[in-house]
Amino acid sequence: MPNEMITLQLGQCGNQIGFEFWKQLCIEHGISPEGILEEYASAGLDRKDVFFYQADDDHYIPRAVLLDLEPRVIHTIMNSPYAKLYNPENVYLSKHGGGAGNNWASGYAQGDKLNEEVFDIINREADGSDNLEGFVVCHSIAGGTGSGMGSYILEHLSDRFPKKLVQTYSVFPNLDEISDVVVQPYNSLLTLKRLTESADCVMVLDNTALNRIASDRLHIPNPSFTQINTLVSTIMSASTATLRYPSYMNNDLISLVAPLIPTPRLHFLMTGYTPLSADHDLTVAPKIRKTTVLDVMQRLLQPKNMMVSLSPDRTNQHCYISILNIIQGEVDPSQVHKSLQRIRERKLANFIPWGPASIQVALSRRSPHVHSSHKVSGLLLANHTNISSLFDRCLQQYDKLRKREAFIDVFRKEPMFKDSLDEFDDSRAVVDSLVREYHAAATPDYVHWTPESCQL
Amino acid sequence: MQTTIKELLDALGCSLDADTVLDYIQNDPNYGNSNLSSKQVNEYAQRLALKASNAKTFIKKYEELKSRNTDNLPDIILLFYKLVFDEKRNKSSKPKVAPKPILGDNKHQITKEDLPQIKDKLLKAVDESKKYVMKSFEEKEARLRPNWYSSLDLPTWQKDHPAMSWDFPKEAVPIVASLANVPLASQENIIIDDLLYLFSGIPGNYIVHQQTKDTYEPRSFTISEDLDDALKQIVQQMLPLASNYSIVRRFIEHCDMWSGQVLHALVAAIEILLKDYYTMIAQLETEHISGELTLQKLWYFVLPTMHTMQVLAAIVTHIGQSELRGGSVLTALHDKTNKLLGDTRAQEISLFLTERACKPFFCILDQWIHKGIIVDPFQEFMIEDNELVNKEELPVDYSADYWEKRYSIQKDRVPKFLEKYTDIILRTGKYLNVISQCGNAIMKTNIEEIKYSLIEQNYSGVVQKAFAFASKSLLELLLKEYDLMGRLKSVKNYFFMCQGDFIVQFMDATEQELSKKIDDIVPSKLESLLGLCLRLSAASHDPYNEDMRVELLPYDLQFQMFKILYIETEDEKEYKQNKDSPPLTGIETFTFGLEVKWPVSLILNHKAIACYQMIFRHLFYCKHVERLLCKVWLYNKVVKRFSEARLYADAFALRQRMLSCIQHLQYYMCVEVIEPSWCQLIQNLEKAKYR
Repeated sequence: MPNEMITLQLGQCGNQIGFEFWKQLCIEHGISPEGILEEYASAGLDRKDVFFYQADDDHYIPRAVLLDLEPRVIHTIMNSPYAKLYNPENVYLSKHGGGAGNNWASGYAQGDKLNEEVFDIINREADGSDNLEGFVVCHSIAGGTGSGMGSYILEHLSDRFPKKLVQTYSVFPNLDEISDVVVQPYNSLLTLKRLTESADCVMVLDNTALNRIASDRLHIPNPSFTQINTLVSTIMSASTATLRYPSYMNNDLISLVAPLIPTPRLHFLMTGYTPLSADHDLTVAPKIRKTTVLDVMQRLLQPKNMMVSLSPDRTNQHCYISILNIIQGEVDPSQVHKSLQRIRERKLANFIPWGPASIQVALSRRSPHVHSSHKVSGLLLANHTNISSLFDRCLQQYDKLRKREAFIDVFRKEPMFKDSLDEFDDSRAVVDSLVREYHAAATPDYVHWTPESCQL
Repeated sequence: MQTTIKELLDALGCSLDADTVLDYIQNDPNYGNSNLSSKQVNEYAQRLALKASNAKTFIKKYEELKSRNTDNLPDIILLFYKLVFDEKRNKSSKPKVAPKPILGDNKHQITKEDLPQIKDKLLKAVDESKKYVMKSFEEKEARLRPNWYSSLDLPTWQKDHPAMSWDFPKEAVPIVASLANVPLASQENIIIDDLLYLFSGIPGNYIVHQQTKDTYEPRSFTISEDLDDALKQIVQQMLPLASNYSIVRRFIEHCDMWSGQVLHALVAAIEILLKDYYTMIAQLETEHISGELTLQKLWYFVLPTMHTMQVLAAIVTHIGQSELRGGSVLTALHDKTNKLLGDTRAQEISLFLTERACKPFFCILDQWIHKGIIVDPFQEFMIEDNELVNKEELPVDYSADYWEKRYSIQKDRVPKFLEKYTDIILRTGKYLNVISQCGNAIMKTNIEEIKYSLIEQNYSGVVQKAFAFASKSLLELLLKEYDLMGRLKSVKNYFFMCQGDFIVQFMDATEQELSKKIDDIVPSKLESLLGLCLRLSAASHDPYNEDMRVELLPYDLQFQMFKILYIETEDEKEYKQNKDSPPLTGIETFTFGLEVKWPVSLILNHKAIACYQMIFRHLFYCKHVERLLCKVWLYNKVVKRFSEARLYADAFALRQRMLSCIQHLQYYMCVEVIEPSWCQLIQNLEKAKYR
């Protein structure tokens, strides 16, 4: 089967969103928690084999690798009804089970130690697929395992599989509330470097924005992880919809991702989804409104629906590098055309001055097994230069901590930072240059830009 | 004469100068002595019309000129025919002799010396064309006859027993008796006797018929010179009745086995009228014997009959002289009936004849529009069944030709009153025919009889009802039994790449093979790869995936398009020349093929599939380009680790532009063109289903 994707779930957060993602996929494809195709699910309409493969007894197994250094979340998964879904060989728990202690360096070091065992699993999984298209990595950038071990795996994935796509769903920490992870800015910065250099496409899932959306838009006062993760799984399933429900176009990940990412470094994508409805897990039912293509497409361009919290663009310099709307549901193509025209007329989206600038649309079918109360729903994948503000914030927080040399001792314990803290400076430089490149991308002479020629 | 030529030229849509042609004709040694029968001239005119830019106007003009009895019309037609026909033949089959100069330029450079030569050539050409025409006539005649013709041994009564005729004897008889010195009163009596004989086609003693040259020539009579002038006057007035009767009789007896059912029906109808006529004659005779009939009285009595007979004679003369048969007889009758609008009695007769004559025709029509079969032994029906081969031994592209060629409208056999419905009638039968060819019985629900009517709208009910039934049945058959919808969906999946995963998989599998030069590609390998992809992708659930084929065409899409459009400007010429050099790669030549079985092949015929293939090739190539660009993207992504990445920004921006362009193009084609058209098709099919 061509164009398979292997999902790697790393750490507490990665496994949680991964768990929700598989739950969602099972529902959409009519696969029971045990991996058995439900009777009502008809064959021939969807492609389950992108994310699943079939065992000898025909039950479906996700192409997922579950990795964690501490047992809590994986145990929860293994005690859930979905326990039988996963291939037990693909669930890897560090033997000493102590976790990474929210320390990036510890996670990285353990990744190095467990390198062979982990890549054995990944290699086996890759060999098991006919024509592997790429990897999906789910992790958070703030913790220890997801960020540290994730960084290690990212670096080596792109070395071992240079021709495969590496897409990550990276959860950025909530900056609105004080985190219990004090070294979070360090972790984030170090992970950001790997995301910049080793990942091909990063879906930025900003906890700040997710929480805000849950409380403001869905009116959930104190959203739980599960509720937040349901939002994430909605996005993940929608962004892979065209792969799983093939139609005229965008039937492989690359054709989806390539137009969004013109230059290799600027590969941090924002997402937006509308209409957000309270799923079965979200208790409060919002009002069902009439959805039209125009309505959906306009809403997708509103910042408040964006799942990334950006600092307001006061100077109005920032612009979109690219936009892809995945529209699902009963859509009349002529409506899409009209909507695009409307958006262009009203100049609702500013585009980069140096490249083709337009909203791309991919139409996708919906799962016949999930009944949505809305006729049309849309997912926005956008490459926006203002995402640099997010990195900028990371840099600022890092600088604050670094100035005081706070908590740096935890890192010095690990082999990487034993001798020097150069890695910190190096990472800062990479992220800083990324921020500057994003700024430059908003200007017309970006194509002739070099990092040296730019002043911030 | 010049005006005639001019009018004809205009109608022909020819740019020649009338004067030139006139000169030409008068120089022709054959001028004026071409002994062409009217039939031949007709035939020539018909053939000319085929060549003319506007066939209808030409024929109309010709008929008009003919009815005006224009001088030299046959000559002009012959000349035109010669010119057009020879010109065409020279073009098509490289003649052994030098091509005959066509009229246009030979007038410019012609010298006196050349004239005899041209004349010779023309003469030869005329001879040849005459021979050709005669041959084709003979062939046509032979074709008209059913194959049992030769085995039939028909008695030749009319020849052997000329006296059996109800007409006057062929040879004129002299007046033997004399009326000299007979008193006036007796003369009247005798002459009444004679007239009654004459009215029923028997020569009298004092009035005798004369020989006629032509079958439909009015007969003239010789009246004894001794007859009193006053009586002679009355007799003269009444003689047209005998003449007309003779014409009608000759028409009836001229009808033979091969005249067809319509003429037979007409003749039968005339016979019914004649029976009344004979009764009247018998009554008059009785009256005469009882001595109560005077010549004046007789005149009074036969006056209405004379009118009737005149109408009859006019009708039969028209039909007989034009040698009409089948559908065209009905046209003639219909026209006549319409023309007689002011004359109630005559119209009644004409209507009666038309109704009767229509019966066999309608019988065939009925079979056709309700059962889809043609029972037409005498080639009279407006639709001709061109071949009667079995379905099994049909050539491959039979389906494509089926609609077009199997049944064809014979324009001249279409009765005028059915002209409006010709197309519907043709299609009705064709549809039913398809149904029965599929082995399904046709449930005939409609037993409404078709009747002749002067108003054309009256047929629409029956015809439309039959058409609705036929098209509905066929549509149902195709949709239900042969799952047309499923077929179309399958076509959409493969040819329009609606099922993207299959295409992606197929392209992955065949990429290597298709990037080779066309001569190096092993089609069987492609075939097996296709089979593999069909089995492995979501296409495995398609019941029709077995019918997919791989085709490698020896030309690329652009060449094909140019070929179809056939634009010949400088730009394309240049393009074509360039095209010759590099051999085509598999990607450029590849297309899917589709095997379709009867009767779905009627709809998905070769033409349709060729169109689908063209669309597919375009989409396929676009997809290929998109994939190449994506591949470049994959190669490029490694650059992000190096600080020199920025140096490539220009190239990346260009790649991005190309990718964006190709994706937008694909999106436009698929989502905004193909998909809406598909939806419309489905909607229309649904609508048709429930109509």
